[in-house]
Amino acid sequence: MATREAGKKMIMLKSPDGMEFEVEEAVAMESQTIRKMIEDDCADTAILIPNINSKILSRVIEYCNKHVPTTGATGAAASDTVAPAALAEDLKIWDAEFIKVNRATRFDLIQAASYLNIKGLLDLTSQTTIDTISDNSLEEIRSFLSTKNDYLPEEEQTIRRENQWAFQ
Amino acid sequence: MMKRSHTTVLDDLPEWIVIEEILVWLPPKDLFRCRAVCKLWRSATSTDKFMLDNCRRQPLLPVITQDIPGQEGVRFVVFRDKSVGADQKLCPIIQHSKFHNLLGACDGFLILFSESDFWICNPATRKCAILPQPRVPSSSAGVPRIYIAGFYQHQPSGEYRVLWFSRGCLCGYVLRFGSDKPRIISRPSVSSRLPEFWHQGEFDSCYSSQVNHRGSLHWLTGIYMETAVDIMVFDTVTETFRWMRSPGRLGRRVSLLEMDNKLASCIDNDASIEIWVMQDYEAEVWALKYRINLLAMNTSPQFKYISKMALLNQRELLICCHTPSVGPDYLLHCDTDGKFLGYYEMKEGTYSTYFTNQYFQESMIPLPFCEMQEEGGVDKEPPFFIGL
Repeated sequence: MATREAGKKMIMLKSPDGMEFEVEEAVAMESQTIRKMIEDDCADTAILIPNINSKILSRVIEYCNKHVPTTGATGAAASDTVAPAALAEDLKIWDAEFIKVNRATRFDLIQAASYLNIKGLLDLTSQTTIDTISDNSLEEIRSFLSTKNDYLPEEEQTIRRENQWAFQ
Repeated sequence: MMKRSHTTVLDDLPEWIVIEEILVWLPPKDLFRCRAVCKLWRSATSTDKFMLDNCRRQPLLPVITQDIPGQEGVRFVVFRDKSVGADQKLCPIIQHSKFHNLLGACDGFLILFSESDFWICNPATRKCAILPQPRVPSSSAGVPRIYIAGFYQHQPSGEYRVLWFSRGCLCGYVLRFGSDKPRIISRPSVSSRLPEFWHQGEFDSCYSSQVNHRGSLHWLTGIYMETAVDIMVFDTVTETFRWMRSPGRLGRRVSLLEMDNKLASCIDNDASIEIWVMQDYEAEVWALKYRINLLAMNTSPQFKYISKMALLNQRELLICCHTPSVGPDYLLHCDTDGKFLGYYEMKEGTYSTYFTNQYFQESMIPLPFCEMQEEGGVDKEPPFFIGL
C-alpha cells in the first residue's frame, strides 16, 4: 500500500470509468464496506468501486474528507481551537450546501451511500426523498419515483378504504 | 395515458433501495397511505421483517398522562419535538381513558388496565383488543391477584409475550398473545442486598418500567429506598432471571434507560441530574457520564421542583417541572451537556401531568391475535379512543 507524508496510509479507489482517486485510508474507511475490505485484508493497492461513476465517487470522497474525525493518530486534534458545537454547526451548513444537487445526482448519491455503507451520507441524501413522500399525494409520489400504478381503480379504492384515516 | 415530466428511467432508484433505505424510515401513517401507490409497495411493506425494521427506526417517544379538568379519565400523550408549538408537541395517542395505568409498551403496542380487563392496543393502526389473562390456580387465600411485570417479543419464535407476576407467590407466568394457558416459571432468588421485607414484596412495572436491552428486560428494584439496590434481569430468549449490580449511588428518584445502545441510569437529586452509563455490560462496570445542573440553566419562570424525566433522541432530556403556585406545569427540554433547548407550558386547564416511564415507538404491526377480533367483533366496547 502506498504511503505518503507524515506516515498517513494512502489508498487508491478506482471507478469503473477508469478514474483513480488517491485518498487517506482513514477517509476511505468512512465507508463501512471499504473498512471491512481493508480489515479483512481483501484490499489490494487499489480498490475497484463498481457501479459508481467518477463524478459521483469524487463527490462521495469529498463528503468523507469533510466528515472524517479530525483527531489523528498523533493525538493532535484539529478541533482543539474550535468548540465542538461550532464544528457541528459548520458541518451542518456544509452538508446543506453539499446536498444542493439535482434529482438524478441525489439518487446516484443514495445508491453510492447505500453500497458503500456510509450512514451519514445515506441519512443526508435520503432525507429529502423521505420528506417528498411524506408531503405529497400518491400521484406525485409515483411521478417523482417513476413508479407505475398497477392497481385496477377498484383495487386502489379498496386499499384506500382499508386505511381511510391515513388519508385524512 | 399520463405523460411523465421527467426523462429517463436510468435516473431512478432501484425498487429495493426505495423500500429498504427510504420507505422503511416513514412513519406508519405515511406507509399505510403508500400501500396504495403500487402492488410491490403494498407487499413489501407488509412483511414481518419490514414492519419490525420500520418500528425500530421510529423515535422513542416518552408517554405522558394528563388529567383534563371536567373530563372523565385521563389522556395519554407523547412528546414529539419535531412539531412546532407546545400544544402540537404533545400529541394524544389515547383519549379519555377511563384508566390510569399504562402497564407495558413494546413495538408499538401498549397494555392498559381498566377495572377488570387488560387491553392491548396499537394507536398507530387504531386497533385494540382485550388481552387474555392467565388462568392460574387459586391459592388458599382465594384467587391470587396477578399483575403485569414485563412485555417483550420472544426470540426466536417472534411471539409477543407477557410476563405476569402473582402477589404473594414466587412464581411468574409467561403467556403468549392470544393464549390463556400460561407457562409457569420461577421468579428469581432474591438478591442478598435486598432487605427482608422486599423479598415477598410487590414489584410493579408501573413504577419501575422495564428496559429492553441486549435481549433482556431490566428493572430496578426497591426504588424507594436510600440504599443501593440491584437490577433484576430477565433473558427474553431463555426466559430466566438473574441479578445485576446497579450504579450504587442512588438518589431519591432513579430510572433506567437505554442510551447509545448502553444501559444507563438517570438519578435526580433536587436540581441536579446524574446519568450513569454501564461501560462494560459483562463486568457490570458503571461510570458517571453526565451531570446536569438545572439551577445553572437559565429558565423563566423558575420552577420549584422536578418530578420526572425522560430521554429524547438519545441525547436529550425532557423534565417535568413544577412551579410554586398552582400555575401550570412546565416541560423543560435540554441536552445531556446541560444546554437549554426549550421550555413548554402545559396547556391552560390541564393539571397533573405525569411521566409514565414508558416509551412508545410507532409501528404498523397488526395485533397478533387480531383475526379473532376482526370478524366476530369486540364484544366489549373499548373504554377509550385511540389514534395518532
